[in-house]
Amino acid sequence: MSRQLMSGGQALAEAALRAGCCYCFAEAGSLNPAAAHLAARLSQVGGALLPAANAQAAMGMLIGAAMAGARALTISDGAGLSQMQQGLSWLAGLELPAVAANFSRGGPGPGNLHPAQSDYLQATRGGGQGDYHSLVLAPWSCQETADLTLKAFALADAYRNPVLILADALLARLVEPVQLPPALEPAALPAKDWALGQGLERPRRCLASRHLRPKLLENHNYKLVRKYDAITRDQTAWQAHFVEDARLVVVAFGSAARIALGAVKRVRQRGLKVGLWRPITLWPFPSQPLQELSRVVRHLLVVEMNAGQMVQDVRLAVQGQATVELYGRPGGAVPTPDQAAHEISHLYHQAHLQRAVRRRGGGV
Amino acid sequence: MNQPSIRPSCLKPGPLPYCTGCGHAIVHGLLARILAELELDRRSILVPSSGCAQAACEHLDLDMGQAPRGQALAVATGLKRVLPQQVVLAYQGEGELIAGLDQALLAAQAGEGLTLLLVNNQGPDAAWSAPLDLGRLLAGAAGCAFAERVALTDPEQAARAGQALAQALRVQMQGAGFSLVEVLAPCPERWHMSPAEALAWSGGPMARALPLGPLSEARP
Repeated sequence: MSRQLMSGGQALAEAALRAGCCYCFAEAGSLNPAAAHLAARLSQVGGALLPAANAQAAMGMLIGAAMAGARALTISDGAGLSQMQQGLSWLAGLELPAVAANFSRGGPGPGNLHPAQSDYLQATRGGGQGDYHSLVLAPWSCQETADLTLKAFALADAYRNPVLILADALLARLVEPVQLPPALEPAALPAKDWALGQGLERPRRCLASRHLRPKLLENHNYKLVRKYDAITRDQTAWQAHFVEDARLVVVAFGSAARIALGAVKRVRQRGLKVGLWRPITLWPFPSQPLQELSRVVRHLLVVEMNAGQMVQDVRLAVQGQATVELYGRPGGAVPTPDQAAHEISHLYHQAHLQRAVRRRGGGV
Repeated sequence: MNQPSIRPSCLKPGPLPYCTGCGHAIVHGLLARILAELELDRRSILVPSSGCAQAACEHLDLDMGQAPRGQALAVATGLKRVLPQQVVLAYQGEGELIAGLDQALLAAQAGEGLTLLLVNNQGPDAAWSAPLDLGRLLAGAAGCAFAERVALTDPEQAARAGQALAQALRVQMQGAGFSLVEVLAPCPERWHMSPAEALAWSGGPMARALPLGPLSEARP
């Protein structure tokens, strides 16, 4: 199929349709362009975009559609996701697959409509009640938004767990060429032998995670823990750029990683040995590969569009083996590649890495 | 009255876990009987509320999905949209309905093909001097095709409650829109009354403040 120009929001919507998602639930009056695009497209395929009274109700509808065995989606921003945290806990507790996309914007409170990555902790730490995790995927381009949307539905079904796509307001509106796969045939979707309402002859099914006896609830929780362990073992994803000879590696995700790559290319032109390492899954965070990298590269700079959130996971991963500095821009501020390059260059020289490189170079 | 009691197929054996004199136990029995009579027990989905009635999961042999507090009608909407051939019932208390009243109003206004079984056991608490008439509020929405308030005070009232529930389910099966049955239900524990006193109160002062009968003219 040929490539088409589309925004990240449209790419998410089109990929969701191709993944067999026929239902999207969103707050009535929501301004998000992905939902607007889906509203028109879903009606063509016999699905629906249902406006809900608020984000909590949109999440309620998503839970209902998931109980019925449908692939379903909700699209919102950080404010909407804040209201949906209880629902994510519900999905995880009941082991229901669903996908929620967050095109995050500046906060806290009403904040602004500019791109931000300040929902990292909200997304990766749960946020709802109980011991649970949502899988969190962070695209950095329109093409990857489409690819990860398809992957999100597959992972949700495979693990019967909610999957978040953590994008931002920049990706929602960025327009790039995107190649989309053909739509999945309904027969190709995984069978759901736990869903409600299909089949008269089977025993009745109750989807609940209410276990009044502590031992039963503990067992249920351990079952979830085993699932999260398997996800952590099998599903971490990341990318490394120019790390082979790097003395300093920038760690960034999503839009910030895209900007950081531009910065890395700029400083490389000036002879600085700098690389980029990008987690694609934010939960599970690819701690082990980053820890391995930190045995070789002793200087990390975290670049993120918030006041310092992913930097916590980076420090946990490297366990003190490398120095971890932060260049964080909160409140909807988007660093330019030049600004990021300036920060990289400053840190590089402060740590005397340029001299080390020259000395090594001189020794050849 | 001398007929032997026959347990409906979708009511599991064993005692219900509710307090003596609790309205939920009566409503569960009524629901199970009506679903069996209409032969709907194999094609119905119940969305129980987050309060005491969550126990329905263990005692009714129906497909069920547990909703977060206040979200029963939102969850029911998601279920019904994906499975339009199923009969979908939301089972809520009045406090829980208020927690999601915005979405409940939208569902009634849009005429979502759902049946709300509203078990109102508000009782003589501080807010009682001016109770919010939730049933009439929802009945006034454009898409509400059937709404009736019933009580459980005596076998005659309970039979009327059963008829109202059956009618609400027929409305749903006809695709006529949203339907609602509000049951004035006793809660002796929370009201600090004996079961007999609570039952009398639900049919007395409670039914005077929230009059029984059809709540809207919009009958199919």
